[in-house]
Amino acid sequence: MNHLLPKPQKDIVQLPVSAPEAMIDMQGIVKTFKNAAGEVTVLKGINLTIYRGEFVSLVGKSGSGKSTLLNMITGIDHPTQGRMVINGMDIYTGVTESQRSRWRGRNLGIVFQFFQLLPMLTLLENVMLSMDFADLYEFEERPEHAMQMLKLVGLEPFANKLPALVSTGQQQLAAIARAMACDPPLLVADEPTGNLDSRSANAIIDLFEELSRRGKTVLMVTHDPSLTSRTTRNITIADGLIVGDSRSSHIETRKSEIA
Amino acid sequence: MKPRWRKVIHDLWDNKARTLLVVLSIAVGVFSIGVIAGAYQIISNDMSVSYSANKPANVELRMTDFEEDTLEMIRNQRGVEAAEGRRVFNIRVRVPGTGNWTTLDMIAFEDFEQNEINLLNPVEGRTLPEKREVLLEQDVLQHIDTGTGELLEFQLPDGSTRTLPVVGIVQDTAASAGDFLASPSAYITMDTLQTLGQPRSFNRALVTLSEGGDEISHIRDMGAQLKDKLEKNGSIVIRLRFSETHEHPLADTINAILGILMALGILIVFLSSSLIANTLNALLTQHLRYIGVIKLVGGQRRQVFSMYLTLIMAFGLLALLLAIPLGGQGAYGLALFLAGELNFNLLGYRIVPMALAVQILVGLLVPLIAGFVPVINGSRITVMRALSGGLAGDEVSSQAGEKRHSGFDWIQVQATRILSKRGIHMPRPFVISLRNTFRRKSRLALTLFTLTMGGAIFIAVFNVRVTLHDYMDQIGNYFVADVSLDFERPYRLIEIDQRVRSIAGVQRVEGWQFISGEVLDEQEQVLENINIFGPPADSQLIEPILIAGRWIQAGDVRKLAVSENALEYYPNLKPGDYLNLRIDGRDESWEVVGIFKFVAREGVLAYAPYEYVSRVNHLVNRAFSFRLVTDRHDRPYQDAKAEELDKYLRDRGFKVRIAEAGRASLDTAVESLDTLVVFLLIMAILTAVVGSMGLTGTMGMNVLERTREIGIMRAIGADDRAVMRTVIAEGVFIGMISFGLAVVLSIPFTYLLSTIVSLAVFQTPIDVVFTYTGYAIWLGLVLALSALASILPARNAARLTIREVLAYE
Repeated sequence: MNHLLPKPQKDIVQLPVSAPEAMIDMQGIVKTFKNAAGEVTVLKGINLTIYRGEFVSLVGKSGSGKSTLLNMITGIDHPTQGRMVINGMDIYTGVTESQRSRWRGRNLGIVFQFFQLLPMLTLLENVMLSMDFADLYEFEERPEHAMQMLKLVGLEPFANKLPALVSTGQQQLAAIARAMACDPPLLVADEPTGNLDSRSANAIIDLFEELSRRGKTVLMVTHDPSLTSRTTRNITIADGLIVGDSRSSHIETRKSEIA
Repeated sequence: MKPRWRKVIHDLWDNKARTLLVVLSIAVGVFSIGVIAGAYQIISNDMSVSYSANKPANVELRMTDFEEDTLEMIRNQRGVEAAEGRRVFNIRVRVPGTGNWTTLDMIAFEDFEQNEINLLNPVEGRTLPEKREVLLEQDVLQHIDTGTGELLEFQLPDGSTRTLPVVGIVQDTAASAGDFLASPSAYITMDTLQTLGQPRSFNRALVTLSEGGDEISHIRDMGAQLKDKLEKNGSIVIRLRFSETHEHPLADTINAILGILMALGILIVFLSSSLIANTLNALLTQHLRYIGVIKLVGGQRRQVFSMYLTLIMAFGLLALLLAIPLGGQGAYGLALFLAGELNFNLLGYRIVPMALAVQILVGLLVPLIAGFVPVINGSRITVMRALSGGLAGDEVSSQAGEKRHSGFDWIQVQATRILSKRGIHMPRPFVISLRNTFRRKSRLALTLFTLTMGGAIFIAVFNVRVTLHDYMDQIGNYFVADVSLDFERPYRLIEIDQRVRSIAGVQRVEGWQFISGEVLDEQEQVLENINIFGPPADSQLIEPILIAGRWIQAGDVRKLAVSENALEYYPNLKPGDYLNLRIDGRDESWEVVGIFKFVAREGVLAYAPYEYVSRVNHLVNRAFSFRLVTDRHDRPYQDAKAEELDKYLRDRGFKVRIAEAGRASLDTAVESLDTLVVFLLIMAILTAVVGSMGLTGTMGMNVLERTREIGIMRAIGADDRAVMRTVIAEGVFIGMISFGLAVVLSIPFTYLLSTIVSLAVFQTPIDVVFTYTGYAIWLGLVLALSALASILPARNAARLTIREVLAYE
């Protein structure tokens, strides 16, 4: 499958500010929300490092802070305190929201629970859109690369359909194809199977496993215990703190693979 | 206060931008209709009141010189209330030491204190000039830089000059009323006539009637009786003018123009109502969830209905608070401007009750009507659909599992594919802009409607302007001469020809004569004045616009080509027919050889060959009036040559009355027309404003509804510029579509507006001319407006944080 993964043609300049093997390195992440009732601290000083090639599940009850943490990792929201280094770049120091969007397009693939495909674009166009924003690959080559990504997830026959005309499972596969379009080293998925039947869910997790094996770092938020068993690392969050961090039995094998 | 009413207040206050948009949408319509209805009422009332307050003459007799005994004879005629004599003559004037002469109509009064007809209103300084003092009509100040206490230099026919002080500025509402081509006026006593080289006698009689002053047929009858009587007593009446006491001569024209403005005002209300419908639809869509919650906790349909109806009423009331005072001021401002242009006075600032009532009606009723359907739909929605955002999606079904695209989606997708196969790849952000444009089709339709109407009217106004100018240019074909020379007495053609050809640049000279008379009906009653110009038959200084028959020929005897306004009196008139004319007291039959187009003011115009007219006037080979052609035809050159000729001829003892550029009168008329065009343009701009407000609202609503999608774009790498570009491109695309539609719609609008305006101003339909100017300006404007209309929503879109739009929990 590796040959299907496109290679970016334009370099992305990044400052190496952390150890090269760490994909996500967060130190003392605190997030406090202010509202009419006062201040609520949702994340209470999270220290966490996720390495390249890891397939990590992040679990926690509703309100535990896992989505807030995901927002911090994807650059969607600011931490109140702390330092967040993703793929060697401190994404909250001296970087505007607009610059962070552009960075995200080139370094991060996000898969949402509700797919979030743009309804007015076909599946193929949805995949090409992220290449357009990131300005990766020659313009004329983007349709071919996007088609390769759809082929990867088995959606080639549906490439020219609008999202509303394919099943929810197919929409999520298309969303993964879009997330992978710019060949980002990190894939973040928020409850990616939450709205899918078990067959579609299995196909998605198979795909994540394959991507992880190919060196991508995959971080997945989930409620489903059956899915956590398939990840290489399982992090549990409760009341804004990491309360569990376990690696599965095959972690050492994976580490040596990565090395 | 019940919680549901508190919610209404919150709805008004919490989203201030939306409240402002709805209020402004309503206010702009209310304002426009208020301005126009108010101005209409003020002008139509005050124009006649102001005009009649100055006791306008019902009959004006232009005669050869006469004395007090003739005036007494007029006064003694049964049905005459009062008669006054004036001496009116052209005189050239300038500020001493400056170079430019201006021609004025100098009017000498017998007695300013006893004046009862065509009263003068004081503006500044004195109203009773002494001997060797002069009063100026306020319009003079637009032509000459002078004022009370200043000296003016007057040029006499023999070329000598006299200097008189200006002692006051007055307003003469009768001066130039109904005559676009009239010169500005000045006033002296009869005692000053001698100083200006004029005889102490009258040449104009102003008559008011004791009864029937508002019946034009009666006034005409009286005029004809007076003329007969005077001519039987040896006086020569050159021309008659009739005027009703309570009707300004331009009332019909002004009412027609105000009618057009009213139609545009109603259109603006209509456009703003579509804007309101759009905004309220979006508001209801946003509120579906709240409606669901209200119903979930026991709210009934009629309670939801009344809540949102109250909200709409509140929007209407806020708009009225804004639009009523502004509309009142606008109405008075517009009326004041028109009054200034047409030289009449207003009775003072006031709120017009009718306009106020219309504003209140429009301000409350239009939003209710526009919002009724959205509110009904909103209040009828089931709890389940409301809570699931049932109507919040796109009009295109978003139900997964459908196996076919809707027809429109299919076309869009296929079009993109076909282009792509042909090597034309569109960037996806641009594809988003294009397809987003058509997602809310009813909203798009309303937006396009407002923007297109604004554009079409805007373009049409420019076309109308060019049409009017083109017509005036065609009328200019009757004024081809570069310099017109009028003398106090006739001169031999050959003499003037030899003299003026010695001036560098003069190429050709023609001597013209004219006959004045009246057109009679079958009972030999006077229908209208007729002026028969007598240019040489082979004159190259007239390029007539013939609509029937032929032009005059040298051998024509008692034959004429007549202007088409003769058709007003003889609708079936055609070449070969005979017109009964009264010329110098004799009734004659003249054959019509041709009918031509001309501005239908100031009676019927006709042309007959000089060769015949000079025989009728017993002035063969001589003329009072000469037309010259120079080697250049621009206005400054014409002015300079007129000046040079004037000096040259006066220095050699010729009695020059006027020497002026051939286009001087026409240019003045064109300026008057431009005032009218400015009004139309103001209305066009207002409609364009409504249109761009509609687009801003639409783009704002689109962005608001697509917040989630913008969040997705941010999440997958769109930076600020990319988001803004997508939104702005959509706005510009809508602008471009509206431009295309406006181009098409502007054609019938141009025909309609041109016809209405030309009928009002010229009393004849005229050929429509199109200009690229309006199209080019509107294209630039609509692109700028649509980009501007999208920038604010685009900036808001770019500012949205993804956390706000993609809430996870």
